[in-house]
Amino acid sequence: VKTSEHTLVRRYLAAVEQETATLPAERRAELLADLTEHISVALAEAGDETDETVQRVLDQLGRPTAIAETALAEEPAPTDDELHAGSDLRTGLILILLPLAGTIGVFMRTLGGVAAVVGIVLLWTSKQWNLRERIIGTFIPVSSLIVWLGLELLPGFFGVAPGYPRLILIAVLAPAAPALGSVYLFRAARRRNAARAALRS
Amino acid sequence: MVPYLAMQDTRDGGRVASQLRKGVLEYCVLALLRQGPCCGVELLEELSGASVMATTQGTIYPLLSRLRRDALVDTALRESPNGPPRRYYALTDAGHAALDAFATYWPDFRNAVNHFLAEPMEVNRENQ
Repeated sequence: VKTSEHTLVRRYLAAVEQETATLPAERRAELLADLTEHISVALAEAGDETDETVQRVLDQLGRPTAIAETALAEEPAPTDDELHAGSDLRTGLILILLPLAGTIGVFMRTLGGVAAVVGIVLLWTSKQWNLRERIIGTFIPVSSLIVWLGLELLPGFFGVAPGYPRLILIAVLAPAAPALGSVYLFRAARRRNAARAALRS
Repeated sequence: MVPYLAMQDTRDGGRVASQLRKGVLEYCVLALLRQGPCCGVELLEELSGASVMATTQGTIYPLLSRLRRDALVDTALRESPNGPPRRYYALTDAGHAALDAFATYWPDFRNAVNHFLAEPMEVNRENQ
């Protein structure tokens, strides 16, 4: 069996890949190749590939987040331009356009659609967020719709009797959903920037 | 391994060790390569022999990658009798030079730290 095909190994490498989403692609590929080789060599020396052995090798290799932090710290520090002007403007646009698309899209579909497309393209070309955060961000423009449909199609899902309490819940949650999504992205970006700043100091 | 784990459990022992390691680990790696090319797993075995240098294994690879980019080490794949081909790291001339520079500087650095640790209150005592 090839090392990288073992379920535990695949899951581990996928975690490293996700945590290093902000690393240049070439650097990420090299790190994953190095880790794969390390695991193969360690398993060859152990002489078996039982789940216990694989887990022990992965435990010794360390938490994916720890490896990702070191890899990001080895990157040359971004210039002030990269840190501020460009990425701050882009980040701000993303955080405004996505919830805006979710809100005004209800009344003005064309404008909402344009805001959604621009916001999503900026989101996926930004280096601020990892894969999971990008996927969640992509749903921000339609989050009101998802909340509304969810509460409409699944009455009693939250233990709410049909009728006006559910309507109140929809009236409160649906408009709030895009804003909450944007807050989620904002906090993720702030957390990552704080971690990067701490690593550089 | 046990002293290392025990040290991590004390509140600041792990932090101190990790801060110190950050500065010197790459020179320890360069020094290990002086005897000849090694692969990552061999380097990790050597490092884990000294409990204070035992690091989260996976973090050695970003370090090795930077040493290669800085042209302090060269890499080559070699067949192994056991398992897949392994990537071997070898010191370059620039790597030797960086190691020599560190080796020249280190005794003064170590002596200065020892001096401050041994006589922490010297100045204050003279003033009293």
